[in-house]
Amino acid sequence: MDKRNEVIFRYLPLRIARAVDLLPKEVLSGLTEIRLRKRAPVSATTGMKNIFFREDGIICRMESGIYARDDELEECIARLTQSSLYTCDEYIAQGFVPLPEGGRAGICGRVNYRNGRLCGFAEITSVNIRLHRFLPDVAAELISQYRDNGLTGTLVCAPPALGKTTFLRSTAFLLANGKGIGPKRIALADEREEISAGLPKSGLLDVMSGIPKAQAVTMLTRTMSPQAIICDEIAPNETDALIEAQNTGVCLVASAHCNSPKELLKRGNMKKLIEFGLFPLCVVLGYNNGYFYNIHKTEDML
Amino acid sequence: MNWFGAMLLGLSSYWIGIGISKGEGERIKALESLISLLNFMKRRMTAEKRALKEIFSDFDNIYLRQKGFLERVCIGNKPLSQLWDSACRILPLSENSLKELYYFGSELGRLPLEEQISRLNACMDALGAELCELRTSLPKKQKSIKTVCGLCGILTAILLL
Repeated sequence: MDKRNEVIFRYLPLRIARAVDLLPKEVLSGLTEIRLRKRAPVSATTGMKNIFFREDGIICRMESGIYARDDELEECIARLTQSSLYTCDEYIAQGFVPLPEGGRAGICGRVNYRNGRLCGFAEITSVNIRLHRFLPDVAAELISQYRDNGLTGTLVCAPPALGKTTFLRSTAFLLANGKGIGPKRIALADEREEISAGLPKSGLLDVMSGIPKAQAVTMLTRTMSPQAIICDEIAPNETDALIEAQNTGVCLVASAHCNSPKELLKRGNMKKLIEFGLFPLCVVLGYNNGYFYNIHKTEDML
Repeated sequence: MNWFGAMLLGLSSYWIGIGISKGEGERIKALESLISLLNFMKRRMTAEKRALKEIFSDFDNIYLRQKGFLERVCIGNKPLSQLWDSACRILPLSENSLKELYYFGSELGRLPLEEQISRLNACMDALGAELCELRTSLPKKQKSIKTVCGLCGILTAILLL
């Protein structure tokens, strides 16, 4: 069994794990997510497709797919939390459960909302186990751009689940290990330990996890003097802190959800970051029978 | 039957009474051990947020170990609530205590910390109250069990004589 898929089988109830194991090999190797929903068909994401399957691993229509029973969803949550939900309170309040081997499982359901904040879930009705992938060479083209023109701030854009984190992981690996470029001091501001999940602990790599990204960027800039900081999914409320931290001249490689560079510029916070010169380069990821990416200069986009 | 036989019958009945009253005393031991386990759980859950299985395997109590409680609650792939119930069932507890323990176990490991701790406190309070009551009533109860058993033995011996 693929080591990456072992993660899935560790957390899935036996009946569903068996069905996933019986999926065609090419599907199994391209899996990025498995979703369990209460009394609804189990779905898997591979590439940009959502697929459904029967107990014997045959891909089928949604109506005939394997359903997750109530007890199976509970078992999955118990496995994810080691039968101790309270150990993940602060993460559950953000809608996910961290996995011990890195990565996370998203959760959804009826929320306990008190005093303007999420205090937990009264009932969890959906679980999304995300699989991290490590494709070391996927960012090789960006690295050769860095080699020719120097290391510079880069924004990686794509719709959700199209490989932004995988791309950042590869960038971190190649830069920190000096593959295709001289080794660079790389710091990961990895709030949810997603980029570092599955990333070999090698090269000039420092990881700061468990604290908000903007705060981590500030701390890393002050304490670790990295040549580049890599972080995932910039939120609007983090813009000012990032600009502040980035006045030091450290390159920032980050990602953002969007479908196109045009759409990116419609978002005030992103436009501001680009205008402040934090991201001279923009990598747009896409999928067309396979993953691809284009590198743009942001000055041409403005 | 001679006098020696009668004496023997009386003494053995009294000895049986001692045995029964000791069994009653075991309930106190079980409750004390469970309360100390719940206290241990509470400390580890709040201070370290350790997972329940780790907490159970760290905890040591001679009585619960000898009874096989800790083994039952630690080992197995069944849901924790089921393991907890089956482990509680082997302890000599009253219906009331078992009810409290089952209720606590039904959501064990499925709640956020605040709710989990409040359930744990409620369970500890209930067991503590029963323990207090047992501690005051048990010596009297044990004494009467021994007396009744001894008297039964003597009565039987007199009848046989």
